[in-house]
Amino acid sequence: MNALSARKPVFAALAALFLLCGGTAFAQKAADRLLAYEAAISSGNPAAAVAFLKDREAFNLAAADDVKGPALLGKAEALKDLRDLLAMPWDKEKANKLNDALSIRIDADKPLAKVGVGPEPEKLLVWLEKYQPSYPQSKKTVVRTAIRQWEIVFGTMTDLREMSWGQARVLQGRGVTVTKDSWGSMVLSERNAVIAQLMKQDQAFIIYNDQVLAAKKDSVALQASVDKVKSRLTPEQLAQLSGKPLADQAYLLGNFFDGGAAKGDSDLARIHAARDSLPKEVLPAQQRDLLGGMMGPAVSKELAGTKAGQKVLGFYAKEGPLKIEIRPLDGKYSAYDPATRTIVLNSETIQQYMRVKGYTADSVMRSPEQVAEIAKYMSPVVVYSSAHHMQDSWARKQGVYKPHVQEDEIEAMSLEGLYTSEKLRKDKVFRSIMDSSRGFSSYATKRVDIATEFSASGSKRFATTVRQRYFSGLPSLDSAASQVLGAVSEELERRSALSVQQRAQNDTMNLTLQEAMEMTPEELAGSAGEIRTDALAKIERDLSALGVYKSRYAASERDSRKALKTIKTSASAKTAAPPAL
Amino acid sequence: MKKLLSTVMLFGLCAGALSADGTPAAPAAPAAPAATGPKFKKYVMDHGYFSCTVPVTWSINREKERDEDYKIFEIQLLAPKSDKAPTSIFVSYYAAENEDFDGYEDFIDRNSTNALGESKSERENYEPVKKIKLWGRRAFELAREKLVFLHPETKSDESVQLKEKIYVLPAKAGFYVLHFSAEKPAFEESLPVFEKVAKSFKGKP
Repeated sequence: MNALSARKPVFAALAALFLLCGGTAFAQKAADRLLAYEAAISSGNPAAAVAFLKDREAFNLAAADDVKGPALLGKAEALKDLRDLLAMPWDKEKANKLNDALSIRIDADKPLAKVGVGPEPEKLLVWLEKYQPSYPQSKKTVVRTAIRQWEIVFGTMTDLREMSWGQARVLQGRGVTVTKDSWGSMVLSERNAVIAQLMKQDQAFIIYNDQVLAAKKDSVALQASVDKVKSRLTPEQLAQLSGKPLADQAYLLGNFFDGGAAKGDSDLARIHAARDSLPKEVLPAQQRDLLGGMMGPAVSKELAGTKAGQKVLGFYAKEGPLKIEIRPLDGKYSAYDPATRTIVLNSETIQQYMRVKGYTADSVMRSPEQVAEIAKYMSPVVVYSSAHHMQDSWARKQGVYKPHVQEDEIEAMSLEGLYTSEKLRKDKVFRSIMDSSRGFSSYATKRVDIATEFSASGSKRFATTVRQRYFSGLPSLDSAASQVLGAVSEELERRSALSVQQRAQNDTMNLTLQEAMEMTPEELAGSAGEIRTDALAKIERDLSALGVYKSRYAASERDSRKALKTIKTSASAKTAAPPAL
Repeated sequence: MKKLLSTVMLFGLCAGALSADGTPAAPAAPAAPAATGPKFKKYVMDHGYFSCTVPVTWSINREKERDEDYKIFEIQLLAPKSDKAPTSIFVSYYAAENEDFDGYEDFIDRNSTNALGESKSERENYEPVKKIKLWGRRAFELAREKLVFLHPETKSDESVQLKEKIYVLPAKAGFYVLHFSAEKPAFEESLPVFEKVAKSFKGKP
């Protein structure tokens, strides 16, 4: 047995021993265990990291050291997070999501780099072979794709790739040459930047970006629908479409087939849903403000009588009022704006509904019924965004640094799934709107899908789905904490060598706690050197006590799963459970 | 080094074998190889809730801490090959006091239609629940096909067609679920693996 292969079971077994035999019998050896943990974690051992995080005694001993403690915790959290991430069922179609997830974890300033996993992405493969040798070859191939290994991206036949970059054109002899060697020293974000440039020149590379790929597929589907619908046009109408870009053709077709409702025609529905609004269908800024003001009370009425809705209303009764704004949002259906503590609904989603229903801006302003209908339609995403408002409010009250993490999305999507499930069962009008809107609106279909997924999976499996399928690019709480802690503790260690005067002088120029608290983990880790010492120390204290955050998420999860157990998903008279045989 | 290895072996006996990732290794025992397809090994769930054979070429995922929290003890087996969605088998024990389902009837109810209560829609088809017998014990079979969104938070409608087969086995305390899910084109290919796992399954009465 060589030294390397012997080391693995040693650490695994030590970890097992610490887990199972901790307590008084080994209390006097906590320092020894800590030393073993430090050594193992420094070499990237995930089992040791997990054991350390569970070994309260050794953990507390480490925490007593203001400098080493947070650094060790950051590394341990990062290793545990990486182990959990890779344990998920990644397949080749999710390689880009895994790339997203790895990009925020493996970089020069990340804790993983300090334990030998990065910043060069290929180091992950070495780590994988050492600590997860039993992973199937298919999974390892997905990882190689996710880290954009040269052989996967460019093949094995070449060691260089020439490309144009901005003004530097290959054809003018001023292109950029990427070699296999230089690729090897690039971090993931740099490799992705190169691939993004390549995509502009070669469509084959769009497979490395899900959004670009999906947009391309949507465009192909829209083109097919436009082509089909053209057979119904007059020669004059066809002449107007001739030579126009696809988006313009869809817009003109929307005008030709005026009146909105697609009446079951899937091609027209796709065109109406994809096209820009006609002038009369657009909500001008003033009318958006008015509608937003009307939506608050209308949505509150919708939320009443459901468990998720009552939770939201209970929150606004204390923290209120529920403020809703309607304006364009980039690709999202809704968002919570922490600056104004307002929920923002995407005006385009509402206008799409208006287009298909045949409503105009004027008709909506004159009709409380149409406002109530739109409030019903949008209420699931109000619930979703209100969860983010609750999270923000909690963090403000606690006075802690709270990054946006996967756990936030699990909570928000679970609350939405719970609300929609219950609403579909109890509210016939809501059910009818969602049911009928599925024909033209992926927004509505997705709301029903989330409710179905949440209800059928249960809270436990739904969390995995959110982490892996919907928000794999977002860090988990553990990952975010380790990323920030690694950078912050390193910076504090560096500053401990400075004199009090030097620190004070630097701090007069540095960013304040308030500014730091608004940063993402990525920003914070990247600019730790520009943040005041007291702010860094405060954030380090916050993220060294993750139990405070986890307790909150766990409590919220308990609420959702308890509520889900008590509701039935179907509004129809479903048969009771099949009789026993 | 010898002394250290001896110690490690002792600890191994005390703690149970651990894999390099710190999770309990599945107690492996040779099982009769299938005529074709992958080899299988035995897996025993904690507390002896169930055992079954699992294909050695498929990976095993487990969330031990959450299992204990939810009182849902399960493994997910993932096929080495998959397309846009994984080909996977869940073998799960839902304890009587589990946090997600109020008994097997509730599980069947929630898994036999979509959230609108439909058994058929443009994107889904749920077959009627069948009462069956598996290895002499009463069970229910659910089958469904559905289009699943891959990007529900964006405007992309990219979806995959999933085909699924589920066995639900009531027990005196709690219930068991064996859940096979694959993209439609891959379903038939891996169905024999699922059936072999199911055939080897042994749970508490």
